[in-house]
Amino acid sequence: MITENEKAKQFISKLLINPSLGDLTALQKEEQIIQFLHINGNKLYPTLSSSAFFPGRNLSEVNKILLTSLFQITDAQLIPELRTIIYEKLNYSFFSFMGAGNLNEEGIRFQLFKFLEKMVKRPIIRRSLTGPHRAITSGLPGKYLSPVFDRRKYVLFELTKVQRLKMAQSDMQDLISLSMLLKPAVHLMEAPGKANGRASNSSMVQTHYIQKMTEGLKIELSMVPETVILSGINSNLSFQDNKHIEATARVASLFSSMGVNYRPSMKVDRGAVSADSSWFNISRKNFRFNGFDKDMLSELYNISVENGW
Amino acid sequence: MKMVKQFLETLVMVAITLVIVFTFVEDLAAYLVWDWNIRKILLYVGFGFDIFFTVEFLIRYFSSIARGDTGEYLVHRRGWVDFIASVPLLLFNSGPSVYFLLSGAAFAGGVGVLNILKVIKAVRVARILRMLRVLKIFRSIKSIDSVMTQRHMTRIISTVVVSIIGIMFAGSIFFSSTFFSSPAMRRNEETPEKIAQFIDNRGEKEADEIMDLVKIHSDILLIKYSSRTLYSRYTDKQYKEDFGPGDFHYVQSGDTDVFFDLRFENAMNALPGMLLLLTIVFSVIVLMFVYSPHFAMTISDPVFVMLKGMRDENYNLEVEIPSRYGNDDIFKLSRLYNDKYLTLKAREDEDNSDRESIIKLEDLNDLLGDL
Repeated sequence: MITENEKAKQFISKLLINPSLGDLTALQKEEQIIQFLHINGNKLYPTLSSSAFFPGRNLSEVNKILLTSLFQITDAQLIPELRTIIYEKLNYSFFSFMGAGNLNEEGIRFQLFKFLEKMVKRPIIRRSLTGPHRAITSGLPGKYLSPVFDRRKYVLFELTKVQRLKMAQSDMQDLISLSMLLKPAVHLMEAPGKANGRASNSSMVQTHYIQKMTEGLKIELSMVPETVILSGINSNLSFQDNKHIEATARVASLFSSMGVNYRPSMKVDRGAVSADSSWFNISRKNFRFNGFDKDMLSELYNISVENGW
Repeated sequence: MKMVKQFLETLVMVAITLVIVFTFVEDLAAYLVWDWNIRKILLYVGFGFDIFFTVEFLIRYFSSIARGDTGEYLVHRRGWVDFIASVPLLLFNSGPSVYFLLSGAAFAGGVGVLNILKVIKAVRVARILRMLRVLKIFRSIKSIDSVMTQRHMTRIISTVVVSIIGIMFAGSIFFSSTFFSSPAMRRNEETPEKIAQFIDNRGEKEADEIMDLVKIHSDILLIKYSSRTLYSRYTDKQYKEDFGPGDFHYVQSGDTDVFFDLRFENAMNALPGMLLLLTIVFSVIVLMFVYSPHFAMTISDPVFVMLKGMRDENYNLEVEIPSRYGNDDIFKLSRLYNDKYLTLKAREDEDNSDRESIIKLEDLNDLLGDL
């Protein structure tokens, strides 16, 4: 006899084969399906409560069953991807520049992966991870850091002179990627179940909360330098209120936000500006609202225009 | 049934393309004075095309009567083009030509008949109107894939083509000997009559003078006096093989019949027809490939992007504003869309947990049907 979980997985699998989800990451697909179920839950309920699915269950129970299955399906793809990022894509040699002693790379990888595995169990963190995950898998840091290094303007100045990162471009890329992965950790202290798995309000958090968070993370991620943790956690702060936050945190904040709806293979219609340029230009106008660094946005916008991205 | 309809539509499109090429070749044949046997084949081919399009028009016309939308078909779906480019051509141009050819009757006559023929020939330009039907082919061009662009382009091209053809048609009637002829035209028309009178006045007695006249006027083919042949430029076999209806005409004066060669005059008359066709074809091509991308870039594309951005919550691309057209109203609107609408939309997206998913309930029709 087919279990409720199997029925739910069948239903979710059918939703996932929708062609419009084709080029999305596992977390982006998950977000779209959660949104779909949220908007259409009442219309779907008569069908989903029929004998073919979950008879006798109320809407809330049906949603819970579906979300559990959805997370299981997503995790089957997401967890191996995170493992690949942590174990294969990222190089941690830059830790030595940031005050770390002897590097135990295996230990660092293990600690980071376990931490991420723990984080993604929380729906609100999954939503916050959608952008960073997309940005990293799409190679956004590498894509933009190369021209940033070539241009040697504001962004590079902020990274090398203000933040004093004397490291290679690839190390900088890894630092920004890791900062993005640590960014959602800011929600670890929130009550479980908040936001019900849906996209949350992205308003920036307060400084005192960040300090409290960082203290906790320093213990949990003992092998990760504090400056790296701060870069990740501070990327949740508004640059408008905190003019001294790290350049890597500001870049991580931008790319994480950009990654939320990022679709690299999106067809740009005739008469429309390319996706990257549109995003940077709109974000420039909303820089106060989103707490972004406007000068950084302007430079990245110029890069996207110059390269036709 | 749908496949048969698709096949027939494709067949009509191919026929329209071929008939435009054919119209040019037919004029070219007259201009280059091709062998009559080739021109005879072209005459039959033209007749075949006219029958095909007349039948097509009648089918569409009676179908529209059956559907009760005859007015819509004739006016808005260009049924009038189907009519003008088929029935009059069959009745007044290719039909009579083929009839005379098959019945063996001579298609020659005096000056009056010649003038009528010229007017009838003007009807042929209506074939070019079929260009308007070929516009459907251009729908596959990327720049004109929007319905609005297609409608505008069709309207512009229709106006240009109909204006050119209308002027040519009305002009060929108005600037004829019937209404408003020039002294040169009158002289050309009077010359054969004067020649016939000249020969008739001299008769058989002054054969030498007539021979001199024949040497000067190389268009004189045959002179008959009291039904006896005084002079013939070619043999009967050559007349049969090289001359078709419309290639000659005759003038009678007293007991004298004089036959004149019209092939060279026809060749000169074919030139404006060819130039007209080329003018129209190139105007259409230029409009399609030069103006339509401009129309798309400056009108339909910005509208499409703005509409999509307003309809689709997940679509946030800005409208591209070309600097040289920045002051156009459409781009002023686009600027507002980029600067105000998209900015506010992005803020709303941040706050709105109820925003739409890219999956639509309609996408699940099959799935919900299965349940």
